[in-house]
Amino acid sequence: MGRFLLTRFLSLLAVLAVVLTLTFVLFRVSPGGPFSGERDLSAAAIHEREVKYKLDGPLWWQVGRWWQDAMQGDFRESMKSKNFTVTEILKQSLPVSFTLGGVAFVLAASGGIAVGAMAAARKNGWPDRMAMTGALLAISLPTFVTGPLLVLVFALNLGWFPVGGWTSLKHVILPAICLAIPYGAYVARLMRNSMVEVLGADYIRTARAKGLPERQVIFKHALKVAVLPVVSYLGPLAAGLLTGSVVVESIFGIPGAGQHFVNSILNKDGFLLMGAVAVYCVLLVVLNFVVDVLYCVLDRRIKLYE
Amino acid sequence: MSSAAPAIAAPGRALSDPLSGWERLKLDRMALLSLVVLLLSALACFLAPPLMETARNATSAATYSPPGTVVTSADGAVYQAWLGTDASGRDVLYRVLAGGRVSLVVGLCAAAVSLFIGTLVGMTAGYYGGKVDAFLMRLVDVLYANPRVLFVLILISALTGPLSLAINEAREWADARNWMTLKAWVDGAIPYQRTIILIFCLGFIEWLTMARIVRGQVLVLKEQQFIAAARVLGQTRWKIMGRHLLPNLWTVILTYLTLTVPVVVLDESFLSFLGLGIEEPASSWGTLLKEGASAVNPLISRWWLLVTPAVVMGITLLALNFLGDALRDAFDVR
Repeated sequence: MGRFLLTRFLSLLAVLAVVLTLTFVLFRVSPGGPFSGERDLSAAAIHEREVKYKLDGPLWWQVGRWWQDAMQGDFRESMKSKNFTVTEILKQSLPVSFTLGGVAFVLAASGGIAVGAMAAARKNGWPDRMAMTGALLAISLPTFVTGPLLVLVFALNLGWFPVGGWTSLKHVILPAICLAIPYGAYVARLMRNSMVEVLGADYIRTARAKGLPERQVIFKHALKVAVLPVVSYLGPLAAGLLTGSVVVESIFGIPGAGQHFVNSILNKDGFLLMGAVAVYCVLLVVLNFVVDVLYCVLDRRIKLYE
Repeated sequence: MSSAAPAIAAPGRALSDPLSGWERLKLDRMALLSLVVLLLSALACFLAPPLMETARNATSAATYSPPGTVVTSADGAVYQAWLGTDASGRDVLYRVLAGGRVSLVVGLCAAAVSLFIGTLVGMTAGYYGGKVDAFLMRLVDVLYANPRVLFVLILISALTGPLSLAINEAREWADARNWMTLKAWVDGAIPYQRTIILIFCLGFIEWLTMARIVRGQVLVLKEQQFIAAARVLGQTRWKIMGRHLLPNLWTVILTYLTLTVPVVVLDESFLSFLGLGIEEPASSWGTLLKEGASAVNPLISRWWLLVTPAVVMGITLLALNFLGDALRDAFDVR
């Protein structure tokens, strides 16, 4: 198992390196560089700025120097928000996104697993049909529709939650639900399909034949195995949720990190973009690795590469 | 779902013969219902706007009037706005249906582009195997690890300039040679620049799943005897892929076409939310939802601006997803 995890970790690191390098190259070769737009600058002025931001010389040399700085923890200065380093900007916004994303993650994972398992236990009955239609509807609507609808009902009509802002615990709930809905629906569908398959397995028939109560069959025997496909989805799910969503942030007025992904591209703020992508990729790599470890612990049958 | 009841009795077939995919699909009532809903929605989006009064798309003084109001447009035509009017006094129903046309065209075309790329990559990887396979699949892995938002934004900003440049070049080129048909054709494309860009950008980021699925199917297919027979007969690789593999992949392709369209329509609406989608005065479901979302505020909520496009888009995408799921079940595509 140790060897499997080691090779897995190394390949994830390779993916990280390739993605970041690719992002840098795309940012540099895409037309309309970071210094066009303000005014028509002379070639000399552009060169001066390129030297200032260490973007002169051949492309591989620029990438190399970015990596050199990044390895030392220096993600450089934002190219548009002057006097702020990328690290400072991310330090302000990431805790907000982590809180929101963490709550949404717990909601999506637990809600999705519960609904999916329940639907599978009543396969083709009306709770199953209702839950799966609801889940399908939830992934058919964009967050910027569910968000305002939630606001309309729970904030404006019922007055249970504030409309927006980020000052108290109450402010977390509505955006977290909004963020969790599509992901929770996806988890529920995954869970239902896997649970239906597991409930048809021989060992479940044995458990039922022994006369175990249905509750025990589902929770003690089936759930442990059926949850495995969901576990492998939890890595990308957490990485996506924790880095924030520009849509939810703008609807609820939350100062999170999701906006930086979009705005850094629109503003051609290359270093902020690199910082945001680095955070996303590191999270993805680390969480995927955690999922691999979890998988080995949860399913003893898996003896990978040995 | 209910594959147990072989209701289709045909001469010369035993009751115990397994049902084909189509027969299983015909027994799935939800799938048939979805198909009907889908056809109705598409017919409404494509046929209704030309049949409705043109005044519905014109501005009027009756801004934000609630559903059912009788509206007089700027040029004096009178009509009843069954689903209210928007910020410029235009009929919401008309704009939702006309917007649906744009959304569905973008969805279908971009899904087709992604299927083309995905099938090509998946078939090449699966059939060639070895280093080609390893390289293509690592490429897919890397692209999966990239945030999709990032890719599509970079692509859009990269393509916008060159496309309008290319269109200008083409116009001048046609003008210099006095090719009026070509010039008129290029002129006609100018208002659709954004749509063209969206189709290619979205098609270009949604092919990854397709590539993996097709590769998996090809790996199974290529071990079968008819492929070996074709190889023994001396057919080239490309001919085997085109003549023998592709016809066996088309249920997979149809299934994922159905499942990719809603994803692309959602992507387009997300880009419209960011202001990068379809531009005024044209509308798509995305732009209408964006307008609707900003119309919900603590003072006055003009709910019809949000609810109308949300319901129409929700039902259409739901039907597409249902149909896609049913196709997947019927043809047993994983």
